[in-house]
Amino acid sequence: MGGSITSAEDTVEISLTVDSRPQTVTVSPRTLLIRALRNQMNVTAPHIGCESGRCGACSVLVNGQTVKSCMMLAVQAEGTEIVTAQGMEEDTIGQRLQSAFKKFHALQCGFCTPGMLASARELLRHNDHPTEDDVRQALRGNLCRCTGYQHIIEAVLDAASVGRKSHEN
Amino acid sequence: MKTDPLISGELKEVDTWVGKPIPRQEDDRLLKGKGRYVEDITLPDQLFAQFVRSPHAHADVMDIDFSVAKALPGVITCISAKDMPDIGPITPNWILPGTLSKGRQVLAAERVRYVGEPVAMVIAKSEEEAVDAAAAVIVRYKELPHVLNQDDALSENAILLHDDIPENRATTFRRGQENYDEASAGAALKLTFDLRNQRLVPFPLECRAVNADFDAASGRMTVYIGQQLPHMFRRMLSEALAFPEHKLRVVSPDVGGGFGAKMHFYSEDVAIAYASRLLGKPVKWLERRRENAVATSHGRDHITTIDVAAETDGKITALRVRSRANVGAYLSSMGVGIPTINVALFVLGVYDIPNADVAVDCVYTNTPPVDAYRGAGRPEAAYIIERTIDRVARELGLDPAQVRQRNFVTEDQMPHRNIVGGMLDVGRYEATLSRAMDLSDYKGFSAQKTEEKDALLGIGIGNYTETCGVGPSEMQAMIGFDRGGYESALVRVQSGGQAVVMSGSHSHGQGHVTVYAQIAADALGIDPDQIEVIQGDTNQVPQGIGTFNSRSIVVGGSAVRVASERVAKRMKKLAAHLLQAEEEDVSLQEGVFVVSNSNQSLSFAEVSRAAWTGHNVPRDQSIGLEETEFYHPRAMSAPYGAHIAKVSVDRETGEISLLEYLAVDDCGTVINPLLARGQVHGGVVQGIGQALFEDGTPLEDGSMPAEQAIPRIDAVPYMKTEHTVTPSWTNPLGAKGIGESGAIGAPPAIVNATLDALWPLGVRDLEMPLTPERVLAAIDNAEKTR
Ligand code: FES
Ligand code: FES
Repeated sequence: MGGSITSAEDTVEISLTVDSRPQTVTVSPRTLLIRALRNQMNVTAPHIGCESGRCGACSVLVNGQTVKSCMMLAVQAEGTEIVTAQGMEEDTIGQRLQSAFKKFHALQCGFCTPGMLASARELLRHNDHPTEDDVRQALRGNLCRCTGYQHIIEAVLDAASVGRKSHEN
Repeated sequence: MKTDPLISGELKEVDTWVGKPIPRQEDDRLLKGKGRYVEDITLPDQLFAQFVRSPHAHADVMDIDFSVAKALPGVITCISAKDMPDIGPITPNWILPGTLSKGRQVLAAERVRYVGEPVAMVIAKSEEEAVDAAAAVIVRYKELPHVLNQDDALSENAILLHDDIPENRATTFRRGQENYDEASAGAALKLTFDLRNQRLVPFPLECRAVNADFDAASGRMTVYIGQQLPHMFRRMLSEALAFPEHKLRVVSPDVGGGFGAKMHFYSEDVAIAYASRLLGKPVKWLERRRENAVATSHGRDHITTIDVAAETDGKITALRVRSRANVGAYLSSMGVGIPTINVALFVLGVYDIPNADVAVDCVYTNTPPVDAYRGAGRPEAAYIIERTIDRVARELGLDPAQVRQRNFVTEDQMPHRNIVGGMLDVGRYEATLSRAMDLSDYKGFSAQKTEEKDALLGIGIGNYTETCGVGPSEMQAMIGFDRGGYESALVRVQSGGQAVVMSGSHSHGQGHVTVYAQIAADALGIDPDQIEVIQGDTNQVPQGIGTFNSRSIVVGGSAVRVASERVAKRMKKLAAHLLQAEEEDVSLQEGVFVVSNSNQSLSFAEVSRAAWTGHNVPRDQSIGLEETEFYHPRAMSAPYGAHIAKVSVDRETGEISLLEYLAVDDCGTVINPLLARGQVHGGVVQGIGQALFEDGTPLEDGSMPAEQAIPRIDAVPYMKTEHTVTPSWTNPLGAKGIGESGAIGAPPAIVNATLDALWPLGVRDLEMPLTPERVLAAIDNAEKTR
């Protein structure tokens, strides 16, 4: 038989910020962060591709770090600040990545894209001059079945170089 | 990373929208996390379904006990086959004449025939409750012996999957002449060898999902499903449930990849719609990744024995192909069509082979059904002929490129119908291959190989072809393919001067919205950003067929072109009337209809508005600016390409490094070079997956491996792409289809390259995927026997 049925007593209230919006929801201790985001907070940018940490479609930034939100319990996100692709428009690195992804046709079905953006944004925040290999390493945990990845690599490198140019000015 | 120019080779800068590498209209939404996939659609009173699946490859279902499950909180109902006596097995969509057909059971009634076959369905108020309840359903089975491999299933004492199907044989398909023995007599070289095109799991990143919403008050049902063929799905579901089709609406929103797997018609689809009708509430099912590996059709699984005869110069004189295709436990939608027609008609590839004899057995086994997956039969065919031609070259000590050149169908033979019934419309195979050889420095690499003998370097060619743009419908009728061979387009210029384009084909990631807008923009004389493309809703879009077989541009795009041209013509006629001028004196210039030798003019928007007010539309012209085209092709086109892979093999670890990958494709007119490149990349990487990593062969007990080895970003090489452009005469765009190219070209190119590296060590054959263990074993074996 499967896991136990959640009864009202063992639910927990959590408060966190998602894409700059404060959220308070009640979750069961076994609720995964991805499910709380999607089903309770209506944040549908991260997707469920495997629910076992293998595909990265569910990746979001938790306090600036890429996290596979299917590998984290919602209760562990108490008090954190979460950014998804939905909220990435608000920062310059996120914007640069979004426009480079479009320019280089780095997405097809778009299902992996929010997760890719999260991992790429973490990379560019720490490394404004990544090599091709840095990009491959940073996005290793994100599967894409559509693009063959090359356009994604080109897009991330381009976003980095746009960022460097803007600093020079 | 260097970025190769998009406009290179035979592509030219153009001043039309068609041919420009513009970025996609659909991206903004997806990049902002605003994609809308089925999983994102939750309706009021939403219920959730979960399936109970067989853990056995073959067993009798003795008893299903719902008592515990039904008592759990949130559970609405539990359903088994007994509860739906009016629902029969699913009728496959492509049944060759003479086939002994067994479609999927919606829920298994008395017997299960593969691990993962659905046995019961549980409906609950939440997904978690449905999962818990499904786990509480107790099913008693009596296990039976099972058979997984098609050769075993054909062997004399094999158990039977279906009592009334002798030898487990669904059908045997033959093409060509049965004359190999005579035709090969006296040949300088005669070879016999086996090839295996392994089973694959398509693995779209979004698993399947269905949300069916029956409204008892109106008798209408809306089904949200990620489906490549929304209209076909509507018909199939209506027929399966005896549900009135005019009250059925199918909405396919954003689709997270499909690669063929999301065009088939599945047991779960019927069951979910059935449950919604029964309960009068929306019922949603989200397939999970582990479930996807058994519940969604697989691809390939094709074993072949090849006999080939050739002259000393490499000219192939006779070919015999004997294939055994594993179709799984039941026929999925196109289950017997793919391994027969889609293989047999293509096994001669781009070569002029005078004698050929092809036979394919389609065999039932205790495995999940096999159906179309990117390339659908053509990867198998290309693998057969491209491995064969390389083998012939190597055995004769000739250069594989030269042997190809010696056997090519030449331009003056076009159009060419070969002796197995394959049809090639246009092709400059020599030109495309030499371009690829130049770009990859084929000669220089061969020299490098000789210098660096210890490095185990190899170079390999995959010269594929296929045919795209299925129709015409009459031909499909002949081969038992129960779909139309046309595509719809509705083009409407609205009052404001912007246009709407609707198409019966449906994107699952390719970018139809952008390319259809490009096609319509040229015909209408407005910019693509003034055009809204609508797909995937059967209540809006005229009856269409859908997206598969790289047909969306060839057939769907042609429909858009024809309908747009008709609208443009009518618009000009109306403009002439409004301007009181002769039609031939009127032209559209930068959004304004002008009359030559006069300063009279009307804007595009003014004419559009006038067409819809009807205040001054002559009675012999119709109101509005709207045209619908059901474009119906007369023939299919045959894209082709020359792909070249370079590898090095590590003698110690058996690991293969892909040093470089080059694809020169000829898909005729390229509508958008940027998107075409994306299609090539994606296909090539799926081909790399097949060649090096992926294996969907079930384990001994019939269950699927826990994980599929899908290529990751650090496992793929730099891919260089280019085009030769030989427009097809089969459609007004001159297009030929590009979506499947990479998946067809890559496996033979990579395996040929690896064998090139290992041939000097005595390795004669390798089976995909080329895992390090297999490569090492092959080298060790070769060294032992030398
Ligand atoms: S859904 Fe989280 S890694 Fe795949
Ligand atoms: S774009 Fe479809 S999975 Fe990446």
